[in-house]
Amino acid sequence: MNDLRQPRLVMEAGSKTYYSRNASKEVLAGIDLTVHASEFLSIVGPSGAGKTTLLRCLSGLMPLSSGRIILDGEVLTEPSPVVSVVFQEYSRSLMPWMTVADNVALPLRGRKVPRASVKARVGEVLESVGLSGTERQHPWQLSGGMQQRVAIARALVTQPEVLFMDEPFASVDAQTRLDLEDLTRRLQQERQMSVVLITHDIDEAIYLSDRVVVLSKEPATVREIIENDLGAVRDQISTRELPAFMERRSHVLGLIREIQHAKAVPAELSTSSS
Amino acid sequence: MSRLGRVLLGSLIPIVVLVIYAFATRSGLDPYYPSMASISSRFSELWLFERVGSDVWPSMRNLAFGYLVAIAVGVPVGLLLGMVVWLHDLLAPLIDFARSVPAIIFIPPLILVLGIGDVSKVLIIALGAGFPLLITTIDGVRKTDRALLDVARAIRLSRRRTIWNIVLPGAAPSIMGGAQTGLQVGFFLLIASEMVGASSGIGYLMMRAQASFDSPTLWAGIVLLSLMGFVLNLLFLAVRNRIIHWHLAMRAVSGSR
Amino acid sequence: MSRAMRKSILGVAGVVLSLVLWQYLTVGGPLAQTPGLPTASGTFERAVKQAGDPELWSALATTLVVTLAALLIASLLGIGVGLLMGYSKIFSTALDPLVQFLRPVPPVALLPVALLVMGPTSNLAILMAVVTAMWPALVQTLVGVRGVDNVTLDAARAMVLPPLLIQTRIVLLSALPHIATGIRIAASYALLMAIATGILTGAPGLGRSILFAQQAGDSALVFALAVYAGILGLAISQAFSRIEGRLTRDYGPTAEAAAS
Repeated sequence: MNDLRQPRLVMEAGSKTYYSRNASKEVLAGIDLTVHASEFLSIVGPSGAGKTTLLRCLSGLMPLSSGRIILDGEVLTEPSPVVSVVFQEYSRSLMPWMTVADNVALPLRGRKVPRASVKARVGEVLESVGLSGTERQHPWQLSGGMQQRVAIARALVTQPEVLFMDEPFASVDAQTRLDLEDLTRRLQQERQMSVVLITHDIDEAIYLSDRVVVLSKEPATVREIIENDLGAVRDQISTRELPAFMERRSHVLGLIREIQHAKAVPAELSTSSS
Repeated sequence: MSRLGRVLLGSLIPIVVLVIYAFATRSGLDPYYPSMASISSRFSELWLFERVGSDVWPSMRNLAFGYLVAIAVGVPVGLLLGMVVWLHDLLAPLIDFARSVPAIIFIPPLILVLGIGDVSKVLIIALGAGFPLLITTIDGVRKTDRALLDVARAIRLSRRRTIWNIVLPGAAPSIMGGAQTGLQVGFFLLIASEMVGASSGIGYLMMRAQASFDSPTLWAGIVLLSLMGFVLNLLFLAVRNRIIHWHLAMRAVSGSR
Repeated sequence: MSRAMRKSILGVAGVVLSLVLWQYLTVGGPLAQTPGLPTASGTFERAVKQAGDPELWSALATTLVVTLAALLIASLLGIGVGLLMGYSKIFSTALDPLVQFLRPVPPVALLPVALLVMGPTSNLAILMAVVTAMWPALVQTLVGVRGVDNVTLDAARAMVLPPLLIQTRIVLLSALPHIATGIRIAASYALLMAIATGILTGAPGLGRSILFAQQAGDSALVFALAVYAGILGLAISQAFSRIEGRLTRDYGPTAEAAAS
């Protein structure tokens, strides 16, 4: 099994420090991480762990302070054409002045794709996320779940090999969330792309992933990487009842509690003293 | 309230005012307040259409040119200043000063330098209409959602396309506010500049009529300018609603603001 | 270097650069000897000299008094009618078409008739300033009263507060930031018309001084007086922005909504 894994995206000793006028804050500290071809990888960690910073660095949106990122053997310094990102706030990441079709077609602008094939590709990805027929509507006319589907379609239209998702289901209702999870897993399987999902929902991470990365916080380091072989096909009811699922869930929950507890003590001391 | 009731109630005050005016001026002897018959006959004498070619059309052409110059300069410069922080910081005090200056102040110096011809009028209108456009464009551009700029980078949109497809449409509602104010200021400056220094135009004719106690011409001028202001605004709203229909529809859907 | 410091250094540099550019263009550059265009130093000298002239100060005082008097009347009128239209459906139905028609009409259209009736007096300037400045006060009041947050209103009703208290304490207070915006815009409109009436008719104040300087062909004086008018405008807009900012901070829904 291990032999079949091709490294696709590698972060080597990635560190990120934010500087302000009279303070600096180390957010990522020496992270080594490999994303394999066609795997579903989730990154979990306590809130404030720097998950979003990690994703912004991995996707080339933000430079690392030290260390490097290698995509298919080349050092990555800016967003790559074979990478797509789905952002957290769907309502802020879609252009309200464009129709659904124009939003989805936006990444193809300037890529010299012929007009007819743009139309075909937009139609194809909209169909694959279950939004056929909404082409001429505007995003704000759709429900939250449908808007996030538009954002996913826009990410897929360039046929990416690596898809980053930053808390993509954080602001939709529970039922929609389950539907979007299954949609994401199905798309990852169909298109054989690598998905890197940032989430604070441990159940979601274990349900969807082939591997789960647990981050510690302040600064973020890789605490543990959990192999999570629950089979290629997942089911909202039966997968979540598997003993392996529940065992890993307890394990990750325990890890996160440990991380939070370790940090909670000095934090409390500092607030009471101020 | 029924539609008919609303229309009746809405037209009540204008009708009452007009009836009182007609009744009070029926003798036609008051030097300041002429009868409605003499206002309307003067209106049709002057503005239907004898003086349209000599005094309305050239004025409208100046307004159109001045307004177009204001848009063509104000919006691109606003885009530039909205995106280049050091340039904005360099010019901010000057812009703050210029926006606080009452726009009428542009008229006397420009007339002194350029005379009372069309060039100075176009420039006066362009200056007066340009500042609201400049300021609202800067505002709109600076408020561009960071999330949308992230999207633009992630999908590797070129700088030109980012401006054209993301920054400019996002700033459009704000720019439209400045465009409306700018049109009003431009119209005001057009009339005012004709009142100060001109040899033709509605403002010039009205000031000349004022000097010769020709009150029917003054009132006919008020009627004409009112209609023109109203129609200009309707035209503006029609264009605006086409450009930012998405914004208006979105606001209607979300129910507020 | 801190952001604020950088900003002020650049700002000062911008002002200095533009003055140097003006001086260069009018002294040795392409615009030298343009009739009617004074040099930067000439304008500055004239402005300093004028500061010793009591006539300038009395003109400035007249313009300020006219502006503030007109602003007071326009605010009372605009806010009063705005509240009536905001609270009462009958008033808003009766007045809405009239407001929609009159708002885009340039008030300067009335100037010749008003001049004929009143002559070039301070009262003329006040009248013109009032008819111009009442619109923003009216419109913003209406926006404020109509835009009260429904959740806030429901909460107040759920607490069974007396209707009068709801109207004064909740509706009026949450409309206050909008009303302040209306008054700020009204103040700049009032100043604009106070000076415009002087320039166009010779009514007393800074406008008349500018008109006389223009008629005398004294371009350095026209530019110097324009600078004073700008300073007056800046002072008025700064003062009212500060009041608006304060009210928005104290009574506005959120800082973000206030910024938009």
